[in-house]
Amino acid sequence: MIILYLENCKVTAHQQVNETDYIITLQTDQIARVSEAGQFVQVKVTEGFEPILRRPLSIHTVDREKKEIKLYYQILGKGTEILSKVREEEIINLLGPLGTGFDTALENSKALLIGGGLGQAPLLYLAEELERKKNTVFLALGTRDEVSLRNVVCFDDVCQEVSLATEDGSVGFKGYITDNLPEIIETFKPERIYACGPSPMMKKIKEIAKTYQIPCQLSLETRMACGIGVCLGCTVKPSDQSKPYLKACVDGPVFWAEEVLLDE
Amino acid sequence: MNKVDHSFTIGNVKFNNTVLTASGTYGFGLEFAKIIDVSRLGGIATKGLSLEPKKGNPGERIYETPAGMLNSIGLENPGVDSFKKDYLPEAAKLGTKIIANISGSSLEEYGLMAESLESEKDVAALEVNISCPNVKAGGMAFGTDLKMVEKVTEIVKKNTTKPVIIKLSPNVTNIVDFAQAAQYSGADAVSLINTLMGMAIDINKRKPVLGNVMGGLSGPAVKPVALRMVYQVSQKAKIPVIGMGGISNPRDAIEFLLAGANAIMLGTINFREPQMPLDIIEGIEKYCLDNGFNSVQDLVGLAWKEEKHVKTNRCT
Repeated sequence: MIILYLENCKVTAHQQVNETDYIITLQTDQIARVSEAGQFVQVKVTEGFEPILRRPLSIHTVDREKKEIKLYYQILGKGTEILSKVREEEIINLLGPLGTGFDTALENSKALLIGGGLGQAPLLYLAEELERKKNTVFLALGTRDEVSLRNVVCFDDVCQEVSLATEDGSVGFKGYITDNLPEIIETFKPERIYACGPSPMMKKIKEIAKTYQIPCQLSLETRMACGIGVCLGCTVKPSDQSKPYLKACVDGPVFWAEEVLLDE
Repeated sequence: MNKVDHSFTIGNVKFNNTVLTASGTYGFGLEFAKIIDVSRLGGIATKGLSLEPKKGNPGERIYETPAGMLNSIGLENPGVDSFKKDYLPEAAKLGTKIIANISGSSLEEYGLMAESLESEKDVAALEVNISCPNVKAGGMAFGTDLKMVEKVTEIVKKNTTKPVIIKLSPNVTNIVDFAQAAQYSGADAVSLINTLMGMAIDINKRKPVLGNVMGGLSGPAVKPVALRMVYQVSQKAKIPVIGMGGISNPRDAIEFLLAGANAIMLGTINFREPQMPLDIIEGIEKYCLDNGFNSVQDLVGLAWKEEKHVKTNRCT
């Protein structure tokens, strides 16, 4: 039964957020129809063989009526560099939707979403879903500087409050968002935490969530080849070391914090 | 639907199509069945199986290289018993032939695995992995020693009535010797090539990228090497040859057939273009029709057969 879609998608918008970040909007009949928050797509960025693999990119948000999905990405290498040059009206091949997304079986609760840098990518769709289910959504976003926060306005409609932190102190709290996290948690008293960001941040959030005994989901990033669970390249260590490695592409990218063992 | 005969035979087993998918790149076929009609494939070689479950290698397992990739998965698999119980019944429903790829860390284990799979009617053939570069015990150690290739082939043959395909390592001085050793010891076919040993270094950490230091190189980058080896082996082998190594489009596949492969397997390209096996089947069909071939097997080895033909003409 075909449940993953290989689709040629037209680029309907491609917006540069800042020096390194872009949001690409793609028209897709099938993927937009079935995507869930926290899932990703595998994007074929070139007909050439460098890079040979597709790029796994988070679904930033979905517009089911317009049959569009948005991907928020950062130029991190050759693949995303090539992607950044794609123009409107061009066609890109996507495979998706892939992976296990966020658990959004939550209603009338308080949810705290924490993003670090590019980690904001999958959180918009999540915030929209949670808001639709009558949850109160609070966003804590930490980035290097002010320019990395330019997309944060998108969250305004669906989040009750947004707390910002920048490493250079240009906006909001000066430092890492995790340094300010205990205060945010004590003020907002969330019943669920969702986070996406660099590994050290994920590790810290896992500890803090445990201290406050708040159920926490983490969206993790690894190197990935196939994206569908066959190459076994994207391992994540399970908390129970007697179990096989988890695979970020199918078991994740979103995991419950206690399922996984995180290294620095 | 096809006007051309795409079938080929190994031992007493007839495969409906010359396009198959390579071990380690297709799981047990269940994932790709969510994307394409896998029943059109000639067969699927399973993820390499070991007697006991294997966790595989820690650390980074994959790394992209120009026109290719390195992997050091380390044969992570659920073990042959779990394969039989948990995966094979589902894989058998996919409507294509399942080739169980087996890997032992001792001669005895190869024999035990062959024996264990003998009663499984849904396993069409065994592909014997003597060339995995990513496990310490066994794997390539068997595939780079002629005597061991003979012994592994013999013990597997002794424990099965299914066709036995020996998968050859390219990390040897003369692959033809290894193909012949497999053939003399009773192999029903050889498949080649497994990945080429390689590595990458992270210049910031000043350490190898892969957790297991070295890994296997695959993808378009290895295609000329693989094609050359198929060309050499097929001229000496009297058993079918399954060619693989960087095949990424119909043209590549036809090159392998012309080089002497009776069938081909697709690996890395599946990660990038899941529909490519089907595109290749159609491409081979079209090539045959355009050039007046009724059977794909008529293409096999024409790259060297014609050469011999020319020489013969000159002599007479």
